[in-house]
Amino acid sequence: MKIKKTGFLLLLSLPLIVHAGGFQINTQSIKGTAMGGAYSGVCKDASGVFFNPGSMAFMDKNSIIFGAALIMPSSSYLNPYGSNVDMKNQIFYPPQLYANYKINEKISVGLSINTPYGLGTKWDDDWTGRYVSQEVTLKTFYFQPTVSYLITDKIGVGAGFVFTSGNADVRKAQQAGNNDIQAELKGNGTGFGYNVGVFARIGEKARVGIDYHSKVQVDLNNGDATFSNVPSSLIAAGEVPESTTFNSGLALPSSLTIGASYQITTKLMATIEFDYTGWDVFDSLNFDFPDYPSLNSHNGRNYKNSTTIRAGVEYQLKPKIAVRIGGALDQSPVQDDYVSPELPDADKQALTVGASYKLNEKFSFDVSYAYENLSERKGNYVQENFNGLYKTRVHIVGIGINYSW
Amino acid sequence: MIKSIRNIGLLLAGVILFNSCKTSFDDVKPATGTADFTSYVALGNSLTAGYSDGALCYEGQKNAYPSILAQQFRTVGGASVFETPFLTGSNVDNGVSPAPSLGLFATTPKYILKYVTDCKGASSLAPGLIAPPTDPNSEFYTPIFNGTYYQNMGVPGAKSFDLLRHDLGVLGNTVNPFYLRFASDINPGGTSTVVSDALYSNPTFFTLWIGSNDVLGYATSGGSGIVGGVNPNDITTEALFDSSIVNIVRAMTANGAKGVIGNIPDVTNIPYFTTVPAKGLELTDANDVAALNTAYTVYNTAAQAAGLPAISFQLGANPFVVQDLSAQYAPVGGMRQVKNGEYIILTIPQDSIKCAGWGSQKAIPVNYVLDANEVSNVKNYTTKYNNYIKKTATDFDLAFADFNSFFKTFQTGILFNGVTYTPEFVKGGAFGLDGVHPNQRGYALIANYYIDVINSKYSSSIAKVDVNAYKGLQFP
Repeated sequence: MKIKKTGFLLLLSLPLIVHAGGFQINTQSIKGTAMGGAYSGVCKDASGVFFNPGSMAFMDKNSIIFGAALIMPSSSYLNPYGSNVDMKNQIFYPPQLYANYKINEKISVGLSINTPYGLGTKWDDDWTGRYVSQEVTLKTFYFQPTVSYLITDKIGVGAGFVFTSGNADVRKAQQAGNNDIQAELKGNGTGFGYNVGVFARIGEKARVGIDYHSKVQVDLNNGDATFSNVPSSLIAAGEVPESTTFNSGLALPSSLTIGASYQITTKLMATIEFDYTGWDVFDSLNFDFPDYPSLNSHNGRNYKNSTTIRAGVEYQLKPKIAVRIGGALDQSPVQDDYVSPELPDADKQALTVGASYKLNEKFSFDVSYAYENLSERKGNYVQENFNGLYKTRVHIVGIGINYSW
Repeated sequence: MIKSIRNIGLLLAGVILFNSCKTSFDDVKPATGTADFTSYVALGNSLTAGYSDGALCYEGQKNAYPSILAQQFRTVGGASVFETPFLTGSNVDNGVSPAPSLGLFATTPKYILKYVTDCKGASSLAPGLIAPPTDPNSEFYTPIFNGTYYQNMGVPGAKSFDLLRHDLGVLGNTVNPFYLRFASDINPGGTSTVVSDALYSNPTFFTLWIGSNDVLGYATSGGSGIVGGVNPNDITTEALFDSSIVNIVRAMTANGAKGVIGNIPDVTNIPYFTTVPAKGLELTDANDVAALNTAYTVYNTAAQAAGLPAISFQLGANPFVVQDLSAQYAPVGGMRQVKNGEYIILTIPQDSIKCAGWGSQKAIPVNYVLDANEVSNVKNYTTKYNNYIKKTATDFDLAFADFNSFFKTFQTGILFNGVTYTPEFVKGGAFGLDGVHPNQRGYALIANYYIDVINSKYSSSIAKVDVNAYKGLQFP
């Protein structure tokens, strides 16, 4: 394993994460993460490029943020036979890079590179649910060049073009008598979308923003499918190949975000945010094998649109130190009949804390910690008749470095 | 400031340690409910013995549904020991099935899926014996009873009344060599029966699944026996069936034991009857069609005179021509085309269809055909037996396992943890290669159904088993 890489390459090679209202990852700002994930009504740093492009024009300085969140989920499954199975522990560290640059008093440009959607679940290869899912890794990278314009000194608008690169790796077993055929599907693809926002200051103390991220359809064409441990008689009969290609696609949802913040005293600020995520675009996950149509697999997902409420406060403890606390209630888009080991999602409650330290006029550092509890959920993945009880906890530690000039 | 950073560092370290806290669930403790599972005995036939792929073999015995149930009963107070009369000797893995047609003490082993070359030189996967038959197989016919009573009292081939017969397994008159192996008294005039041997274990709980062979032998032999007889290919009379069931149950419950009685599936749903389609004569050459139609000109003239349907062929799928020895078809030489609802059995020699003109130029012999009248006998008696089994379950307040309905659910498939099990031969995943008996996964599904029925009747919460963990078919 090569560890020595430049930061940018590192960005592309890092694995992603699990559990965040479906497979949405809500740690796109380290400061925001510490306030329950609410940041679209604050937008006081370069992460505003992503949270609300309209906020960028309000920035006093040019800046760059590099950050990452260490996400440590722990999931367990209680099978109907009365015994517990733990999901394999994995640590994910989705990275984020934001930059804004003031061209003049009215116009700013910016860039956002982050991973708003991702999924990683892994179970023992020989576990009882192996015919449903052994491992799923889904990574998406959103590259968003953005421009922002200050209409008046109180109202800014902005828009970004989103280029998405996604890849998926799905492993599961298929029964062929006593042989467990090991299937692995690897594919990658690209998609496009946009991000538009309006951001306003009301008086000296209040800030409000409304932002819309469009849906992104990532087509995974000509992916590689490999099948190992296939009985030779089935290969000879042309029923299962050792390798072939497949086509699939992934719909990444739109989201509408409304946020507001208020400077209660010179030291104390409070913020609140509502997210409405258009998960209903994810109605199925299909794998089609042009050369082996008998292997085609169409899997209903039927996600429903979900709502999240986030809130937090920030307190300027000392001139150089700010502390934050917050919480979130996040509704799962996964309906009862679709809860599966691929993503044992549930409604989520998050408690968060964090701090920033300002080293000098140019450098500052952010840290955050979030604890997420996913409600214990009885799941029956009807399509595969796979039942059980799921429980998930997630710990997230975020670190960010800000440089401004 | 340094202190603050150190504090934050400590906080983070604490957080990472905290992550090692597990989400794991505690294992679920099953509830015993109102039945006493201390001593469990299973009575039945080949299905209870774990017979599969045309033979009884060690692994099939080990994973027979009573073994699975005994294992699950252990979580609710069941005995740690559940004795099965395991095969002994060198044939235990290949399995044994008596083959009197090959010699008085001959046996054939189990089927496996292997490549066979047909009469046209084409090679394909088909069931074939794993090894040549053994004649004589003295190991199989050696009695093994040594004073330890068995709790799996499944006797392959047993009919309802066999469980009460003193002469089922006695030396010198092998009515049933499977019972001869482990009967407690094998001397001529011996007094042991399957039921009396079962009672030696002082059962507090029993399963009784008997009756399939009371119609199955008749069905699998293409209706070669009689209705109302006691030979292997006969259908048992209702009166004998009813009295046998009630006498078995009365004996088993005399000491207050609780249990389950299973009814019998509609055997015409099993792959043995559904694999070879009655309308399975595929004609793709117009010349063949014309030649066959010409060949039956004389037949059709006679048929018209006798008021019987003509035999005709067309391109595509055609009904096979089969033997019919009834008086009605005597004027046309005792043959006709097969009708809807009639069955061709799995053991028909495929080469005879492909190369010897069976079903087209010649009639398929009657013992490979279950005709409408025979189907009706099988179905009628299945219904009669099942009515009585249900009544007995009610009368004795026992749990009732409706296997007739359970096997019907196979028709659309039973989905278990991502795998669909159907009764389709080979591909369905639940039946063995004899087309009659389930494989180990099929037996595990049966065990799970038993557990559902038991939990429901006796308010227990015994866990089911992971069907996919058991063995299925081995593809080469």
